Amino acid sequence: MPVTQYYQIGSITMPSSWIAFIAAFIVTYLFIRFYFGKIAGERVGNIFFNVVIVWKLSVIVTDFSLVIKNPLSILYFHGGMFGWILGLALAGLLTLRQARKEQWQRTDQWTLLLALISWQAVYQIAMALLNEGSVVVKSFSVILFLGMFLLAWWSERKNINTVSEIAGIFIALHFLVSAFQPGDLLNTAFVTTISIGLFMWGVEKVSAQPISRREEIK
Amino acid sequence: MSKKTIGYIITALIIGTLVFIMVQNIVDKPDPIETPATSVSQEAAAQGEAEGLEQYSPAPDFTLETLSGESITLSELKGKKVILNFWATWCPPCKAEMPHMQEFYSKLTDEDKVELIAINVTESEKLGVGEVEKFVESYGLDFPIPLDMTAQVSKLYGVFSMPTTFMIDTQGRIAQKVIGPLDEKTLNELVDFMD
Repeated sequence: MPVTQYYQIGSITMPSSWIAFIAAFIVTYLFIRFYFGKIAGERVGNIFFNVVIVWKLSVIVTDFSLVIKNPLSILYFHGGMFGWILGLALAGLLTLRQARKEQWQRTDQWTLLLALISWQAVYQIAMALLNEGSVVVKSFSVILFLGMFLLAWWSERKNINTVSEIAGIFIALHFLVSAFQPGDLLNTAFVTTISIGLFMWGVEKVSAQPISRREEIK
Repeated sequence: MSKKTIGYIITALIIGTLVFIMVQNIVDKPDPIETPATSVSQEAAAQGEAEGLEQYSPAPDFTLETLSGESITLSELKGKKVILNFWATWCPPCKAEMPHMQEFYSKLTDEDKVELIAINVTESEKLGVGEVEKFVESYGLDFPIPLDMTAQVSKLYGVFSMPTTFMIDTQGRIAQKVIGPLDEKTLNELVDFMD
Protein backbone atom coordinates (compact mmCIF):
# COMPACT_ATOMS: atom_id res chain seq x y z
CA MET A 1 0.00 0.00 0.00
CA PRO A 2 1.35 3.41 -0.80
CA VAL A 3 1.56 5.91 2.04
CA THR A 4 -1.48 8.18 2.05
CA GLN A 5 -1.59 9.08 5.72
CA TYR A 6 0.86 10.78 8.04
CA TYR A 7 0.52 10.57 11.78
CA GLN A 8 1.60 13.03 14.40
CA ILE A 9 3.50 11.47 17.26
CA GLY A 10 4.59 14.05 19.77
CA SER A 11 6.16 16.90 17.85
CA ILE A 12 7.05 14.99 14.70
CA THR A 13 5.00 13.70 11.82
CA MET A 14 5.62 10.15 10.68
CA PRO A 15 4.48 8.50 7.48
CA SER A 16 2.28 5.48 8.10
CA SER A 17 4.98 3.24 6.65
CA TRP A 18 7.36 3.92 9.56
CA ILE A 19 4.70 3.11 12.10
CA ALA A 20 3.78 -0.07 10.22
CA PHE A 21 7.45 -1.06 9.95
CA ILE A 22 8.08 -0.59 13.66
CA ALA A 23 4.85 -2.32 14.65
CA ALA A 24 5.75 -5.24 12.39
CA PHE A 25 9.20 -5.46 13.94
CA ILE A 26 7.79 -5.53 17.47
CA VAL A 27 5.23 -8.23 16.65
CA THR A 28 7.84 -10.30 14.81
CA TYR A 29 10.43 -9.92 17.52
CA LEU A 30 7.99 -11.07 20.24
CA PHE A 31 6.80 -13.98 18.11
CA ILE A 32 10.34 -15.19 17.38
CA ARG A 33 11.55 -14.51 20.91
CA PHE A 34 8.83 -16.62 22.50
CA TYR A 35 8.63 -19.42 19.95
CA PHE A 36 12.26 -19.83 18.96
CA GLY A 37 14.25 -18.39 21.84
CA LYS A 38 16.63 -15.62 22.67
CA ILE A 39 19.32 -16.15 20.03
CA ALA A 40 16.81 -16.12 17.19
CA GLY A 41 15.22 -12.98 18.64
CA GLU A 42 18.60 -11.29 18.76
CA ARG A 43 19.21 -12.01 15.09
CA VAL A 44 15.94 -10.32 14.17
CA GLY A 45 16.87 -7.36 16.37
CA ASN A 46 20.27 -7.05 14.67
CA ILE A 47 18.74 -7.03 11.22
CA PHE A 48 16.33 -4.29 12.27
CA PHE A 49 19.13 -2.23 13.76
CA ASN A 50 21.48 -2.59 10.77
CA VAL A 51 18.86 -1.79 8.15
CA VAL A 52 17.58 1.27 10.01
CA ILE A 53 21.03 2.69 10.77
CA VAL A 54 22.27 2.31 7.20
CA TRP A 55 19.03 3.71 5.75
CA LYS A 56 19.21 6.72 8.04
CA LEU A 57 22.93 7.47 7.63
CA SER A 58 22.97 6.86 3.88
CA VAL A 59 21.64 10.40 3.46
CA ILE A 60 25.33 11.33 3.71
CA VAL A 61 25.83 9.57 0.40
CA THR A 62 22.58 10.53 -1.35
CA ASP A 63 22.64 14.23 -0.39
CA PHE A 64 26.35 14.70 0.14
CA SER A 65 26.57 18.40 -0.77
CA LEU A 66 23.63 19.35 1.45
CA VAL A 67 24.95 17.36 4.39
CA ILE A 68 28.32 19.11 4.11
CA LYS A 69 26.60 22.49 4.17
CA ASN A 70 24.23 21.52 6.92
CA PRO A 71 25.38 18.51 8.97
CA LEU A 72 22.11 18.51 10.89
CA SER A 73 20.52 17.09 7.74
CA ILE A 74 21.68 13.67 8.97
CA LEU A 75 19.33 14.08 11.88
CA TYR A 76 16.37 15.19 9.80
CA PHE A 77 16.54 13.19 6.60
CA HIS A 78 17.21 9.65 5.40
CA GLY A 79 18.54 7.90 2.33
CA GLY A 80 15.19 7.03 0.77
CA MET A 81 14.82 3.99 -1.48
CA PHE A 82 18.55 3.90 -2.26
CA GLY A 83 19.44 3.95 1.43
CA TRP A 84 16.88 1.27 2.09
CA ILE A 85 18.36 -1.09 -0.48
CA LEU A 86 21.85 -0.34 0.85
CA GLY A 87 20.62 -1.20 4.34
CA LEU A 88 19.06 -4.45 3.16
CA ALA A 89 22.22 -5.42 1.32
CA LEU A 90 24.46 -4.71 4.28
CA ALA A 91 22.24 -6.40 6.85
CA GLY A 92 21.93 -9.35 4.44
CA LEU A 93 25.68 -9.71 3.99
CA LEU A 94 26.32 -9.51 7.73
CA THR A 95 23.74 -12.21 8.39
CA LEU A 96 25.13 -14.40 5.61
CA ARG A 97 28.57 -14.15 7.17
CA GLN A 98 27.07 -15.12 10.50
CA ALA A 99 25.23 -18.06 8.95
CA ARG A 100 28.44 -19.40 7.48
CA LYS A 101 30.49 -18.87 10.59
CA GLU A 102 27.94 -20.47 12.88
CA GLN A 103 27.11 -23.29 10.46
CA TRP A 104 23.38 -22.64 10.61
CA GLN A 105 21.09 -25.62 10.86
CA ARG A 106 17.67 -26.07 9.35
CA THR A 107 15.86 -24.46 12.28
CA ASP A 108 18.04 -21.36 12.06
CA GLN A 109 17.11 -20.88 8.43
CA TRP A 110 13.44 -21.49 9.03
CA THR A 111 13.27 -19.17 12.01
CA LEU A 112 14.75 -16.40 9.93
CA LEU A 113 12.41 -17.03 7.01
CA LEU A 114 9.38 -17.06 9.31
CA ALA A 115 10.58 -13.85 10.93
CA LEU A 116 10.98 -12.06 7.59
CA ILE A 117 7.62 -13.27 6.26
CA SER A 118 5.89 -12.29 9.51
CA TRP A 119 7.59 -8.89 9.33
CA GLN A 120 6.29 -8.24 5.83
CA ALA A 121 2.84 -9.67 6.63
CA VAL A 122 2.32 -7.53 9.73
CA TYR A 123 3.66 -4.52 7.85
CA GLN A 124 1.14 -5.04 5.05
CA ILE A 125 -1.72 -5.52 7.51
CA ALA A 126 -0.73 -2.39 9.43
CA MET A 127 -0.45 -0.41 6.19
CA ALA A 128 -3.94 -1.55 5.19
CA LEU A 129 -5.27 -0.33 8.53
CA LEU A 130 -3.37 2.95 8.58
CA ASN A 131 -3.92 4.19 5.03
CA GLU A 132 -6.80 5.09 2.79
CA GLY A 133 -7.65 2.86 -0.13
CA SER A 134 -10.18 0.48 -1.57
CA VAL A 135 -11.47 -2.14 0.84
CA VAL A 136 -11.06 -4.85 -1.79
CA VAL A 137 -7.35 -4.15 -2.25
CA LYS A 138 -6.84 -3.93 1.50
CA SER A 139 -8.61 -7.23 2.29
CA PHE A 140 -6.85 -8.91 -0.62
CA SER A 141 -3.45 -7.86 0.74
CA VAL A 142 -4.29 -8.90 4.29
CA ILE A 143 -5.69 -12.31 3.32
CA LEU A 144 -2.85 -13.21 0.98
CA PHE A 145 -0.11 -12.21 3.40
CA LEU A 146 -1.80 -13.98 6.30
CA GLY A 147 -2.13 -17.04 4.08
CA MET A 148 1.54 -16.78 3.17
CA PHE A 149 2.55 -16.66 6.79
CA LEU A 150 0.41 -19.67 7.68
CA LEU A 151 1.77 -21.60 4.70
CA ALA A 152 5.33 -20.87 5.80
CA TRP A 153 4.59 -21.89 9.36
CA TRP A 154 2.90 -25.06 8.21
CA SER A 155 5.85 -26.07 6.03
CA GLU A 156 8.22 -25.34 8.86
CA ARG A 157 6.29 -27.93 10.89
CA LYS A 158 5.99 -30.36 7.98
CA ASN A 159 9.73 -30.34 7.52
CA ILE A 160 9.76 -31.20 3.81
CA ASN A 161 10.54 -28.04 1.91
CA THR A 162 13.60 -25.84 1.75
CA VAL A 163 13.52 -22.18 2.73
CA SER A 164 14.27 -21.03 -0.79
CA GLU A 165 11.22 -22.84 -2.14
CA ILE A 166 8.94 -21.02 0.29
CA ALA A 167 10.81 -17.78 -0.39
CA GLY A 168 10.06 -18.30 -4.10
CA ILE A 169 6.34 -18.55 -3.38
CA PHE A 170 6.66 -15.47 -1.16
CA ILE A 171 8.12 -13.38 -3.99
CA ALA A 172 5.51 -14.58 -6.50
CA LEU A 173 2.72 -13.83 -4.04
CA HIS A 174 3.99 -10.36 -3.30
CA PHE A 175 4.31 -9.75 -7.04
CA LEU A 176 0.58 -10.45 -7.34
CA VAL A 177 -0.30 -8.23 -4.37
CA SER A 178 1.95 -5.47 -5.67
CA ALA A 179 0.13 -5.51 -9.01
CA PHE A 180 -3.20 -5.10 -7.22
CA GLN A 181 -2.09 -2.33 -4.91
CA PRO A 182 -2.07 1.22 -6.22
CA GLY A 183 1.29 2.90 -6.79
CA ASP A 184 4.44 1.54 -8.38
CA LEU A 185 4.73 -2.17 -9.08
CA LEU A 186 8.32 -2.13 -7.91
CA ASN A 187 7.70 -0.38 -4.58
CA THR A 188 9.93 -0.47 -1.53
CA ALA A 189 7.98 -3.29 0.12
CA PHE A 190 8.18 -5.53 -2.95
CA VAL A 191 11.87 -4.75 -3.44
CA THR A 192 12.34 -5.81 0.18
CA THR A 193 10.60 -9.11 -0.47
CA ILE A 194 12.78 -9.77 -3.51
CA SER A 195 15.85 -9.09 -1.38
CA ILE A 196 14.51 -11.41 1.30
CA GLY A 197 14.13 -14.15 -1.31
CA LEU A 198 17.67 -13.74 -2.61
CA PHE A 199 18.97 -13.56 0.91
CA MET A 200 17.20 -16.76 2.03
CA TRP A 201 18.60 -18.54 -0.99
CA GLY A 202 22.05 -17.34 0.05
CA VAL A 203 21.53 -18.44 3.64
CA GLU A 204 20.60 -21.89 2.42
CA LYS A 205 23.77 -22.08 0.32
CA VAL A 206 26.18 -21.04 3.07
CA SER A 207 24.55 -23.03 5.88
CA ALA A 208 25.79 -26.33 7.26
CA GLN A 209 24.43 -28.77 4.66
CA PRO A 210 21.80 -28.81 2.02
CA ILE A 211 18.65 -30.17 3.60
CA SER A 212 16.85 -30.77 0.36
CA ARG A 213 18.72 -34.03 -0.15
CA ARG A 214 16.28 -36.05 1.88
CA GLU A 215 13.47 -34.71 -0.22
CA GLU A 216 15.21 -35.58 -3.47
CA ILE A 217 15.51 -39.21 -2.40
CA LYS A 218 11.80 -39.28 -1.93
CA MET B 1 4.69 -30.04 -0.70
CA SER B 2 6.59 -31.54 -3.56
CA LYS B 3 8.82 -29.42 -5.76
CA LYS B 4 6.21 -29.83 -8.48
CA THR B 5 3.44 -28.34 -6.33
CA ILE B 6 5.66 -25.42 -5.45
CA GLY B 7 6.43 -24.90 -9.10
CA TYR B 8 2.71 -24.90 -9.88
CA ILE B 9 1.93 -22.39 -7.11
CA ILE B 10 4.64 -19.99 -8.24
CA THR B 11 3.65 -20.29 -11.88
CA ALA B 12 -0.02 -19.72 -11.03
CA LEU B 13 0.79 -16.63 -8.99
CA ILE B 14 2.99 -15.13 -11.69
CA ILE B 15 0.55 -15.87 -14.48
CA GLY B 16 -2.23 -14.44 -12.32
CA THR B 17 -0.24 -11.26 -11.84
CA LEU B 18 0.55 -10.88 -15.52
CA VAL B 19 -3.08 -11.46 -16.49
CA PHE B 20 -4.18 -8.91 -13.92
CA ILE B 21 -1.70 -6.31 -15.17
CA MET B 22 -2.83 -6.93 -18.75
CA VAL B 23 -6.51 -6.58 -17.87
CA GLN B 24 -5.76 -3.45 -15.85
CA ASN B 25 -3.95 -1.86 -18.77
CA ILE B 26 -6.91 -2.54 -21.05
CA VAL B 27 -9.58 -1.41 -18.57
CA ASP B 28 -7.75 1.63 -17.21
CA LYS B 29 -8.50 4.39 -19.63
CA PRO B 30 -7.01 7.78 -18.86
CA ASP B 31 -9.10 9.83 -16.47
CA PRO B 32 -11.73 11.81 -18.33
CA ILE B 33 -10.98 15.47 -18.50
CA GLU B 34 -13.03 17.23 -15.87
CA THR B 35 -15.98 18.96 -17.39
CA PRO B 36 -16.62 22.47 -16.16
CA ALA B 37 -19.95 21.38 -14.69
CA THR B 38 -18.40 18.89 -12.30
CA SER B 39 -15.61 21.16 -11.22
CA VAL B 40 -18.10 23.90 -10.38
CA SER B 41 -20.21 21.58 -8.31
CA GLN B 42 -17.11 20.30 -6.50
CA GLU B 43 -16.04 23.82 -5.79
CA ALA B 44 -19.47 24.66 -4.51
CA ALA B 45 -19.40 21.61 -2.29
CA ALA B 46 -16.04 22.62 -0.90
CA GLN B 47 -17.26 26.13 -0.27
CA GLY B 48 -20.28 24.84 1.56
CA GLU B 49 -18.11 23.32 4.27
CA ALA B 50 -16.67 25.43 7.03
CA GLU B 51 -12.96 26.15 6.89
CA GLY B 52 -10.92 24.12 9.28
CA LEU B 53 -7.64 22.36 9.92
CA GLU B 54 -8.82 18.76 9.85
CA GLN B 55 -7.97 16.57 6.91
CA TYR B 56 -10.11 17.39 3.85
CA SER B 57 -11.66 20.49 5.29
CA PRO B 58 -11.22 23.66 3.22
CA ALA B 59 -7.99 25.42 4.11
CA PRO B 60 -8.49 28.80 5.83
CA ASP B 61 -8.11 31.59 3.32
CA PHE B 62 -5.65 34.44 3.79
CA THR B 63 -4.03 37.30 1.92
CA LEU B 64 -0.44 38.27 2.65
CA GLU B 65 2.18 40.45 1.09
CA THR B 66 5.33 38.67 -0.06
CA LEU B 67 8.92 39.69 0.43
CA SER B 68 9.03 40.96 -3.15
CA GLY B 69 5.96 43.13 -2.56
CA GLU B 70 3.28 41.11 -4.31
CA SER B 71 0.05 40.09 -2.68
CA ILE B 72 -0.90 36.40 -2.40
CA THR B 73 -4.38 35.08 -1.73
CA LEU B 74 -4.72 31.38 -1.13
CA SER B 75 -8.21 31.01 -2.62
CA GLU B 76 -6.94 32.39 -5.94
CA LEU B 77 -4.73 29.31 -6.27
CA LYS B 78 -7.62 26.86 -6.37
CA GLY B 79 -7.09 24.31 -9.13
CA LYS B 80 -3.44 24.00 -8.20
CA LYS B 81 -1.82 21.88 -5.54
CA VAL B 82 -0.38 24.19 -2.93
CA ILE B 83 2.45 23.42 -0.56
CA LEU B 84 2.06 25.84 2.31
CA ASN B 85 5.15 25.96 4.45
CA PHE B 86 5.63 27.95 7.67
CA TRP B 87 9.19 28.81 8.59
CA ALA B 88 11.53 31.23 10.33
CA THR B 89 15.20 32.08 9.86
CA TRP B 90 16.14 31.05 13.39
CA CYS B 91 14.77 27.51 13.16
CA PRO B 92 17.47 24.91 12.38
CA PRO B 93 15.24 22.33 10.67
CA CYS B 94 13.88 25.11 8.44
CA LYS B 95 17.43 25.85 7.38
CA ALA B 96 17.93 22.19 6.61
CA GLU B 97 14.83 21.88 4.47
CA MET B 98 15.13 25.13 2.48
CA PRO B 99 17.69 23.82 -0.04
CA HIS B 100 15.36 20.86 -0.65
CA MET B 101 12.42 23.21 -1.14
CA GLN B 102 14.41 25.28 -3.62
CA GLU B 103 15.56 22.17 -5.48
CA PHE B 104 11.98 20.93 -5.64
CA TYR B 105 10.65 24.32 -6.76
CA SER B 106 13.26 24.76 -9.47
CA LYS B 107 12.08 21.55 -11.14
CA LEU B 108 8.42 22.57 -11.25
CA THR B 109 6.83 23.48 -14.56
CA ASP B 110 3.48 25.12 -15.29
CA GLU B 111 2.09 21.73 -16.28
CA ASP B 112 2.65 20.35 -12.80
CA LYS B 113 0.14 22.85 -11.41
CA VAL B 114 1.94 22.94 -8.12
CA GLU B 115 2.60 26.07 -6.10
CA LEU B 116 5.09 26.35 -3.26
CA ILE B 117 4.44 29.10 -0.76
CA ALA B 118 6.72 29.50 2.23
CA ILE B 119 5.19 31.82 4.78
CA ASN B 120 7.80 33.44 6.97
CA VAL B 121 6.52 33.93 10.48
CA THR B 122 7.98 37.44 10.57
CA GLU B 123 6.47 38.17 13.95
CA SER B 124 9.00 35.75 15.45
CA GLU B 125 11.99 37.28 13.67
CA LYS B 126 13.88 39.37 16.20
CA LEU B 127 15.95 41.12 13.53
CA GLY B 128 12.98 41.85 11.31
CA VAL B 129 12.52 41.63 7.56
CA GLY B 130 16.19 42.39 6.90
CA GLU B 131 17.17 39.03 8.33
CA VAL B 132 14.65 37.28 6.12
CA GLU B 133 16.02 39.04 3.04
CA LYS B 134 19.54 37.98 3.96
CA PHE B 135 18.42 34.40 4.46
CA VAL B 136 16.51 34.23 1.20
CA GLU B 137 19.46 35.66 -0.68
CA SER B 138 22.03 33.34 0.85
CA TYR B 139 19.91 30.28 0.10
CA GLY B 140 18.94 31.58 -3.35
CA LEU B 141 15.23 30.99 -2.82
CA ASP B 142 12.97 32.12 -5.64
CA PHE B 143 9.55 30.88 -4.55
CA PRO B 144 7.08 33.36 -3.06
CA ILE B 145 7.68 34.17 0.60
CA PRO B 146 4.70 35.90 2.19
CA LEU B 147 5.48 37.72 5.41
CA ASP B 148 3.23 36.98 8.36
CA MET B 149 3.96 40.21 10.25
CA THR B 150 1.41 39.70 13.01
CA ALA B 151 1.49 35.88 13.10
CA GLN B 152 -2.20 36.04 12.30
CA VAL B 153 -2.05 33.39 9.57
CA SER B 154 0.20 31.13 11.67
CA LYS B 155 -2.38 31.28 14.44
CA LEU B 156 -5.17 30.65 11.95
CA TYR B 157 -3.35 27.45 10.90
CA GLY B 158 -2.50 26.48 14.46
CA VAL B 159 1.23 26.45 13.77
CA PHE B 160 3.11 26.04 17.02
CA SER B 161 6.35 24.47 15.90
CA MET B 162 8.33 25.11 12.77
CA PRO B 163 8.63 24.04 10.10
CA THR B 164 5.05 22.98 9.55
CA THR B 165 3.83 22.22 6.05
CA PHE B 166 0.27 21.94 4.82
CA MET B 167 -0.46 20.13 1.58
CA ILE B 168 -3.51 21.71 -0.02
CA ASP B 169 -5.21 19.88 -2.88
CA THR B 170 -6.65 21.30 -6.09
CA GLN B 171 -10.01 21.83 -4.42
CA GLY B 172 -8.46 23.94 -1.69
CA ARG B 173 -8.75 21.30 1.01
CA ILE B 174 -6.05 20.36 3.50
CA ALA B 175 -4.80 16.97 2.36
CA GLN B 176 -2.01 16.58 4.86
CA LYS B 177 -0.28 18.39 7.67
CA VAL B 178 3.36 17.59 8.26
CA ILE B 179 5.39 18.91 11.17
CA GLY B 180 9.14 18.76 10.73
CA PRO B 181 11.53 19.21 7.82
CA LEU B 182 10.78 17.71 4.42
CA ASP B 183 13.28 16.67 1.82
CA GLU B 184 12.80 16.63 -1.92
CA LYS B 185 11.85 12.94 -2.04
CA THR B 186 9.14 13.39 0.55
CA LEU B 187 7.81 16.54 -1.12
CA ASN B 188 7.47 14.64 -4.38
CA GLU B 189 5.68 11.76 -2.68
CA LEU B 190 3.31 14.09 -0.86
CA VAL B 191 2.43 15.94 -4.05
CA ASP B 192 1.95 12.74 -6.05
CA PHE B 193 -0.53 11.26 -3.61
CA MET B 194 -2.70 14.35 -3.46
CA ASP B 195 -5.68 15.04 -5.75
